Amino acid sequence: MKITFTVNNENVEVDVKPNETLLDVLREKLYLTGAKEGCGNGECGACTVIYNGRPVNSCLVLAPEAEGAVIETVEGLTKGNNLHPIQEAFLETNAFQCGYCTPGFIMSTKAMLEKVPNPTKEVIVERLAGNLCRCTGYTVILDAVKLAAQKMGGAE
Amino acid sequence: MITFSYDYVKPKTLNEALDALNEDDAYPILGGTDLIVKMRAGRVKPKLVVDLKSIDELFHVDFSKESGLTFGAGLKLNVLIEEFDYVKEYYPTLYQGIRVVGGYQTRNRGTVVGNLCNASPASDTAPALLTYNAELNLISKNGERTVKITEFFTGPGKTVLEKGEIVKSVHIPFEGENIGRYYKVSRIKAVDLSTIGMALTIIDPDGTRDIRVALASVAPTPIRIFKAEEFIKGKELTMKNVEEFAQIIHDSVNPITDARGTAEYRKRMAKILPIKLLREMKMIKEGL
Ligand SMILES: Cc1cc2nc3c(=O)[nH]c(=O)nc-3n(C[C@H](O)[C@H](O)[C@H](O)COP(=O)(O)OP(=O)(O)OC[C@H]3O[C@@H](n4cnc5c(N)ncnc54)[C@H](O)[C@@H]3O)c2cc1C
Ligand code: FES
Ligand code: FES
Repeated sequence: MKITFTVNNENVEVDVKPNETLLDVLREKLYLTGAKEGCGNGECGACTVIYNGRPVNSCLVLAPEAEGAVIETVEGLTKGNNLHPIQEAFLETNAFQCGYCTPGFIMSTKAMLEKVPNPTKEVIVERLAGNLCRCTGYTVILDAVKLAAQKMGGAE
Repeated sequence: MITFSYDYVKPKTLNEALDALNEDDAYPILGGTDLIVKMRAGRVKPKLVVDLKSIDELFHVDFSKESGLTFGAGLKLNVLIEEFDYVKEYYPTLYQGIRVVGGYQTRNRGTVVGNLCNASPASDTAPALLTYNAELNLISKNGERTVKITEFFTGPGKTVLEKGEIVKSVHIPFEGENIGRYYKVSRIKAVDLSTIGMALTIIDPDGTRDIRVALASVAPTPIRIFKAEEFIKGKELTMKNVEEFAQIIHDSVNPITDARGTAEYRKRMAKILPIKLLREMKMIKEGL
């Protein structure tokens, strides 16, 4: 079946099967491989994309459900050669090692900062609890999110 | 990728959805956070997935102090608690229960109704709904009926829903000013099912003080402990009375040992939690 949706401001039409997930379609049909499959069960957040303004696990969205959705993936963040302030913040604080979790964290962070420009630590922890990182120990990720908030204009 | 194939439809009206759901192995989907996980594991194999998210009727929300809160099956967990302030204000225990379901992403897809229909003993929304005397409005080709949440669950993964029948909306009466807590014990704080969960709601805390208590993960279904509620009714909340109240809860639950905790631990917590929560709410009279 054919579905259409918007990804990173572009309208796309793709041929999908009901037993594919949105993550499968993004990665294997649209070659947007930023979102990763970690667990495939909604537990790790590596597949997080922004879906109609809210972060969701794309491994738990059936491809046909995405008809008409507006989707943002990490690939949509760079403008030309310029990184998004959140990406800069992750680089500057060394907030990753292997990087497998990073696109998911960045998308969760973006969705949060759009609604809560200056989040407290409690809010950050609640909003990012669905993203797992096996490498960093999380403290540098918290630093990255705080720095990103500053860069994007939220007060300290 | 799910390893077997099936058809998918997204009807625009309830009637069409109910027709589709009468077919063999047809499953409704809302957020899919339970259904897709089970499909990926091959534990559920639908021939037809019926997406309910284009049915406008399932997205109504309505609240007044006279008629209480009614919300359609389609309402996402986060939408309910972020966009409708009265959930937090008038149903604080439910607000807290919703807030600890999975991670933020889970709550952006998952729904209260999906959580109830999944009928896990560990449901984090059921205990609060039990304390608020919620009712579920069901609909099928044979008509509509209303079922009290105390009668909805029949066992792990089992409900009174019949073939082709769905939950259309949830209704929660507003019984007056209330305070409450939902407390979830789990192995990790981030994303985990409960080892034990307790909802404690006090209607009219400064007046008649009607205390209600319900638990998750201590029995085959989420359960409310009416016996303990009756014991404490009209009694002063001295430590002695509260301890006896807690003891009745302890004696009423029948947990199992599993990966998330032993039966003994769960029983102990069933006694400790009501004392902890009443103390946190400053309801226990000083001294002994
Ligand atoms: C990572 C992760 C963490 C989780 N953590 C928790 C947790 O901490 N606490 C908790 O309680 N749950 C948890 N869950 C379970 C799940 O997220 C919740 O139960 C959620 O609320 C289910 O809602 P849904 O809309 O996604 O349901 P769906 O998956 O869409 O549906 C659930 C079931 O109900 C049926 N159904 C759907 N709609 C209807 C209807 N209208 N009428 C009748 N039947 C219907 C479906 O066929 C399916 O069998 C977790 C899930 C994941 C993936
Ligand atoms: S791959 Fe989707 S949450 Fe882990
Ligand atoms: S950097 Fe390796 S998992 Fe997070």
